[in-house]
Amino acid sequence: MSVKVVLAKNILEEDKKQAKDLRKRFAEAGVRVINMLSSPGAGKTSLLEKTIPMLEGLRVGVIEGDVATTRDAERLARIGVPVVQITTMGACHLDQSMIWAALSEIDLDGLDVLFIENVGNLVCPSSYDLGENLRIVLLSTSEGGDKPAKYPAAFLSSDVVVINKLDLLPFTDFDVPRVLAEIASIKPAAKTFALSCRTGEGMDEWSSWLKDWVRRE
Amino acid sequence: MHELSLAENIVSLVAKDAAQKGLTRIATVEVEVGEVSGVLSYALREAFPVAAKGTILQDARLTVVEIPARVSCKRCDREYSPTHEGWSCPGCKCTDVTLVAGEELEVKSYTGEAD
Repeated sequence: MSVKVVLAKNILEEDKKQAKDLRKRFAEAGVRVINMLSSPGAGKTSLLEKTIPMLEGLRVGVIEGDVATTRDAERLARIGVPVVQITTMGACHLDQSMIWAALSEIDLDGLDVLFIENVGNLVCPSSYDLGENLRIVLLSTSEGGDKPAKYPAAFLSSDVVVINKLDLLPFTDFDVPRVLAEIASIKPAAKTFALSCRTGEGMDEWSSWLKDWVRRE
Repeated sequence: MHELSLAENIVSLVAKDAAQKGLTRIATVEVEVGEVSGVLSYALREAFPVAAKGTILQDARLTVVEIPARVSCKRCDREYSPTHEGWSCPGCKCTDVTLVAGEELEVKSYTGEAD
């Protein structure tokens, strides 16, 4: 006999449950968690290298996600913060089970802020809630200003959009006001920053906002 | 790109529920995939038999229903389909809008048989 079952269950249900458990664990430890998304090469690691030294008074840790190599973790270890590298061996995003595994290697209770640098990919990571309190998406001027419209999910799911590589602006067709307007049309509530990790332009505004956010949370 | 892991989630959700109901062979599975969920229907269809192999869903047929994105304007209550040019309201031109459909990723139903 054939039976029809109405299930109506979210395909990512188990992921959502794990994200909720992670969020609870982070809250218990009193650590604020920031998930960073972008295309490869937009400057996630550079932004961390420049931002972390500006967060004086805050204890910072990093979970570094890459498809292969530990190069980014080595860069960040040089600035003296605890780093755990997750090498996904081909997977295009970090998921909750990878974060749980990484937490066994990090002293969560000794941190105020934990950055999770996701795999460079503007598509898949946007579907995975890692229990973070803040999601940031980076966009660099050399990638072109059409990315928010072409990859709306990453921008729709983010709280903050950081435009990086302002120093390269003269060499590109990137139109900052136009891109900001486009971001606002997709996600009106998004907080936006424009900066250059290389020259330091815009870094003060960004890092002081971030410090205030950590203290407010 | 992660359609295989989503297909594995579908298989395990249905297999678990079917086991509780004493169903041993699954014939059909219907899922809903939203337009802006980031999931490609064709890739999910291709991944499904791979994930289902060796399970009670091995012979199941997957139907993927695509749900178009819909945006609602908070100011003028208008509901519309977003365009590639932006999500702002075609009525009052404002950007105070919210996505009301298009992010779905759900197993709606399945059919199975008991021995």
